[in-house]
Amino acid sequence: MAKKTNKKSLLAKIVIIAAIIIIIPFLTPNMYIMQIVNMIGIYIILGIGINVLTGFTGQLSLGQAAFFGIGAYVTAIMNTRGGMQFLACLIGSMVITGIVGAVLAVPALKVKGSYLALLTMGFGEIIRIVMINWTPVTNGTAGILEIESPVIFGFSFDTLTKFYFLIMVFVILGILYEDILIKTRTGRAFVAIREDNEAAELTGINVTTYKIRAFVLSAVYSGIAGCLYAMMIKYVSPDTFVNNTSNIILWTAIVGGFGTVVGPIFGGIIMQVLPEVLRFLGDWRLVIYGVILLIVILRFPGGVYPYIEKFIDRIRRRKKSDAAGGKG
Amino acid sequence: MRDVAILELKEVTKKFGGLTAVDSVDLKVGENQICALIGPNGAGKTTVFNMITGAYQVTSGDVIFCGESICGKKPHEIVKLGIARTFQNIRLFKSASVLENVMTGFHCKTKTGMFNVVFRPGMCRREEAETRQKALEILKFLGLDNVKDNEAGSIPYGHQRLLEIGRALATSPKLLLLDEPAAGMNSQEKKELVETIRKIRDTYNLAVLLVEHDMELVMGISENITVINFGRRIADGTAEEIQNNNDVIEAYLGRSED
Repeated sequence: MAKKTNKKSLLAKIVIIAAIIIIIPFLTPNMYIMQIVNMIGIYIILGIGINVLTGFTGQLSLGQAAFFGIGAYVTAIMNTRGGMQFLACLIGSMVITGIVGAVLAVPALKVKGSYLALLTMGFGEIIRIVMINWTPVTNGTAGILEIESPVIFGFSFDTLTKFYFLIMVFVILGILYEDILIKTRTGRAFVAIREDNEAAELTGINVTTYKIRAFVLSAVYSGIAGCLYAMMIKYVSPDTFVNNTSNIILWTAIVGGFGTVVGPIFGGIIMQVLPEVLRFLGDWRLVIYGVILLIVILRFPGGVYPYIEKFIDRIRRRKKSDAAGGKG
Repeated sequence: MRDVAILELKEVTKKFGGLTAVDSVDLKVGENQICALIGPNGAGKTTVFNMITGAYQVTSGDVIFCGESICGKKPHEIVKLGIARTFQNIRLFKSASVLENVMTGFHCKTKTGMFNVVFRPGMCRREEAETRQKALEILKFLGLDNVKDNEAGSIPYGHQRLLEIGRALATSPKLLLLDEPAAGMNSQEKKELVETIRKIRDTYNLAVLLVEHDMELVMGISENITVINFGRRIADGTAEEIQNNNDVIEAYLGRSED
């Protein structure tokens, strides 16, 4: 393919994506919906984070809420007690979650499959209990209040609409980084480990260090999401970082597209919008929510994104074959 | 210096609890040689392979590769030193593409990490392009370039075997271990395989050690054959010597009762 058309289509893509991102806040009627949109953004970051570990490297994690929570608490504490600004808090959250990710990886290396799922779930519970009981640091069940809005170089992201753009920056950077990384040697090592642990080792891949890297990377993504969450909601408490949150994070990746880079965008939208749309059902809301999710994964195994991709591909090919007079 | 051994097993023993799977086996593979390790089912051939690649620790004895002991080294370190293998039951990265499988093989010869994709994008792009180019060369060499974008698990069985060899070649080995490369192949494919193995040895300038049950193939291709039975080496020599060795005949056909 010619380089020119590649560049052109890339430019077109950028313009379309930028347009969509800029238009969304103008289409949201109120702050309530703006907050849901922002939560979609945060869950997209969480989704691409867990996809590194579970989707690409094949290490099932049912404890992502713990990393999410640690990121949020680190930011909350650094901001309210240390008076530190957004960027310092962000780096703090990334570093601490990264370290915790590496620490969790050590026992996680020894188990796989359902045992790993149990281990990560237990890890999530431990972190939640620490949040509740380590009162001097975490303020217990009362949580930490009055977290400040992020200020970067004097510019304050004090409304949900401004915050939206901040989140979008991280969503885009997060997706771009993963998209690039996954196509390099590191990404191939992750996939090799998922496909066949032993064969990966015998192809020259240091399985141990690459599993640790996957844990750290996915923890750091969750830490970024936690930092953003804390500064948006301005309040953190252990209630947010429960097992159910871990499940939603995992589902975001599964429903959107397991082992795909952009799948979690769709997963994030589905997982956050569906419960809101179903509010009219009252008590039946969560039942129907669950049923719809089940139907989605039965109808679209591997997530919705691969199907969307195929669909777009088909349209594009039809267009091309029309243009080329039926060739290809 | 034809006698310089690239791989040498010195009285290698492997015990699993009370069971001695491999009992002080000696084996030598010379530079650029094609050698075979044969023996009846359960003789311990795969165990020997697993000790060479570091998947099993040897109980006693020593494995020497290029003049250096590789006992106690991790499998991925041994790959980096220059020993690559294929598997008896094919173990490809099935949902990755054919090309990606070979590119994964270049892992230990490349450097791109998690940080320099951001800080040194130029270097990464160059390395990526180079890896792709070299992987394509290997695929072309093996005649798999026309299926490069297919899922590895979806290509025909014989091609999957070749692809495993391709992935192993990507690690630029000095010694290639082939575990039953002809399993499941028809006689035409076997003939082609013999040619391919010779071609690989000559092009990539490496030594080959194969485990194989197909005697015609083994006798036709090997410069040196080691026979083991019940974990012990019972013979070692050229095809002709092995074919006339009484112990070998006995191991394969049983003792005559007269």
